[in-house]
Amino acid sequence: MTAESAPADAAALQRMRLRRRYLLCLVGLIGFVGAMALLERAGLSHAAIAVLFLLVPVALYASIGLACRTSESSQYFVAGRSVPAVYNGMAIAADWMSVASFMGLAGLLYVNGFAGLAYVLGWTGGFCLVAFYVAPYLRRSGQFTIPDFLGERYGGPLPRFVGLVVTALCSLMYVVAQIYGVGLITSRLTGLNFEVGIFVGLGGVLVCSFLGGMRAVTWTQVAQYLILLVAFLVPVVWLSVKQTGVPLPQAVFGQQLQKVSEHERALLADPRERDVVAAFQAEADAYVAKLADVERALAQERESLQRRVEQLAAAGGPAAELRAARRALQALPKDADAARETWTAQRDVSQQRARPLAGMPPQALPYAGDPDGSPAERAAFESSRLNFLALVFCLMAGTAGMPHVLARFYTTPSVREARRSVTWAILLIVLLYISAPVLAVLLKAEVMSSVVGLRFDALPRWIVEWSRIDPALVSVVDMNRDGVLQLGELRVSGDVLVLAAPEIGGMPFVISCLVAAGGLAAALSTADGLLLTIANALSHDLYFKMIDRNAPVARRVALSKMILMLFALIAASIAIQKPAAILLLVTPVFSVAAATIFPALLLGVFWKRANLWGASAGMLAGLVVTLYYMLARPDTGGLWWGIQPVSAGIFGVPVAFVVIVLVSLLTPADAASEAVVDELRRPEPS
Amino acid sequence: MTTPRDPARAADASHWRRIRRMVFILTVAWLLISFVPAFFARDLSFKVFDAPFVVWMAAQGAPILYVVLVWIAERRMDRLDRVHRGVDDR
Repeated sequence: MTAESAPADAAALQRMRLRRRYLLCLVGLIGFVGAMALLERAGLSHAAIAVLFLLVPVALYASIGLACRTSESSQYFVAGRSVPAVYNGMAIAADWMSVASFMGLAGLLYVNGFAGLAYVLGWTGGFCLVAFYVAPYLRRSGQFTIPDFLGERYGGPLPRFVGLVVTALCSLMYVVAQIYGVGLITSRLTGLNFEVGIFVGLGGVLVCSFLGGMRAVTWTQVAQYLILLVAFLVPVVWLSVKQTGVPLPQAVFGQQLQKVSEHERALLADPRERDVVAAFQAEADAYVAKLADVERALAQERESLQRRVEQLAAAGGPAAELRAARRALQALPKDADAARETWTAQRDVSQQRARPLAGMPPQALPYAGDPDGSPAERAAFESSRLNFLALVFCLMAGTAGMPHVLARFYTTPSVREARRSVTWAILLIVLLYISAPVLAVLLKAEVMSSVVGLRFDALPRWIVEWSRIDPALVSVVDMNRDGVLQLGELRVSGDVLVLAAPEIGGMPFVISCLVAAGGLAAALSTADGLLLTIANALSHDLYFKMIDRNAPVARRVALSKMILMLFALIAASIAIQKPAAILLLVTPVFSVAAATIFPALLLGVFWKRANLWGASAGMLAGLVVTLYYMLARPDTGGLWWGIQPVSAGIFGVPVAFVVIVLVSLLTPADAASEAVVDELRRPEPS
Repeated sequence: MTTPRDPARAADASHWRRIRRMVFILTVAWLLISFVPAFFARDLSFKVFDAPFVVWMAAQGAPILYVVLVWIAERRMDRLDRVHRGVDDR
């Protein structure tokens, strides 16, 4: 054996070992699900199965984390730059596909139809930008973090500092959504309450990233990718076989979409659905009337409820009715302000539901409104199309500036492997993303054909159980009092659809647990990557590069671990407030990343003249414009061209580009950083 | 003095020119795939695999084409790197 072939042999050996391990992991997963199915048949209680599905995968992640524990800096920050392309691809895919992709996306496609496809386009197409403009050059620079790249390329602490603020901001906003998802899943699996669920899940995040940094996170993420992909595909394939007999769900997308459209036409013509819409409209009108004079309406309501309680108590009526009346009295808003707030919200909900098809647009129809209709319809169409395109753009550019994903390109052994890992990553991501629209359509077909029309005394278990966890997630109400469920009477939040999919499709309980475990894998893997990104940015870029250049390695790693813990707790304490729907939390982050990091990275490589001042000013300008539009505009009124605040990046991105160019041209060129660019562009020495 | 450096510099410049041209072409393809069908969604009313074209495109067609674009970029950059090293001069 020559000296030259020794590293090649070592790499081949590493690959063989990895392949064997993860094959074993996959076989183990299938064996585990099979064993659980047998145990379920043998009479093991559902609660026990659910807890096993929570504990066994987390134990697997923890043992990978333990086996990869490290305090060595190159291992901790960039996994020793030894991750082969395929595995980096899987790790990127797991890092990328968060609860927003796993749980939010199919739900959004179900609820919003075509509008949801903006996410499919944006979250896959963004990787083109990553492959063309970012990934090869990041790896070529051989740095450790994104702020690091900015600091070295532009040669100064200012871009590094701005980059680090943005990195921490984006990652913190994003991680809150993940932890919220973790809480939702653990509380569903174990029956613990949401708050306890969050902290149980947090333990799962910490064992991996805390012990072994990037190295442990990478190898855990590979396992998590396998679990989440299997967990997502099983219910899709199952539903597809159930409805069409074809085991390739992507192939039946069009066919089932047509079925859904037929159901939609039938429901639109159904007089009972119209009754429901009218009933909701009446409810909304009642709230409008109450809001006209809040004080009086509140007083009247309180009085009538009090009278009812007294009557029931005096007459010794049924205990349940008395309890209900007391509860209604207690639930009454405390004062006029509270009442105004509650009633406005309730009016909006009723108004929202007082529309055909439960307020959902027809599944196969692109955009709202009508380009050939009345002026109002034309405006609705234009605005919906513009917002779709703007959102696609923001999501794509945001992908190419998302620090936790980009940091993964530092972990490959070479530039070539970094490029190959982008191809693997997008391939592995697309597998899930082209299945999500199919799942949405299959679920809609299932609900429209076999849930709508059921009698209220024979509702399926999933409706009963989910509405018990939180009526905001699933609720049913017999609006037209005919004892039969109409589509308009069922409200399902997009966030629970994927978790409920196995139950909706009548699959065994183990599949429900598998899906929950997949969602947990998606949430944990992304949360791991995000927390590590924040911690590394603060300990490596802020502390080591800007405060104490002589800090010993051990202290940097220890500091990173402490920051990680701190941010995990901060994120958990925000998530406990149940801030908003998952996608609403995640989407603005893309606008911020798009308007700050993406332009600085792109011009950093493709325009040599861009300098320190330009990059810093551009990132700041992008950040300010985006945050201003997102936070201040909606309140001060007047959206620009009707663009929704989440797509603020559509204004932030051009501003950032223009400011970088202008400020760079107005300030002196920097020969040293131009030499850095030459080096970045030159192919890696072999 | 500069003679030994110049050919290397010329090779660097030509390598970068080719990379830039490739990135430009692929970016145009990416723009066409991403925004053109979506913009004309209501006008392109024919069907592909039983689904309206633009719906199918956004749900399946475009993501698959993105994979192809990224794969082309990877292959092409590898080739250009090899050309630069003088291993392969096609």
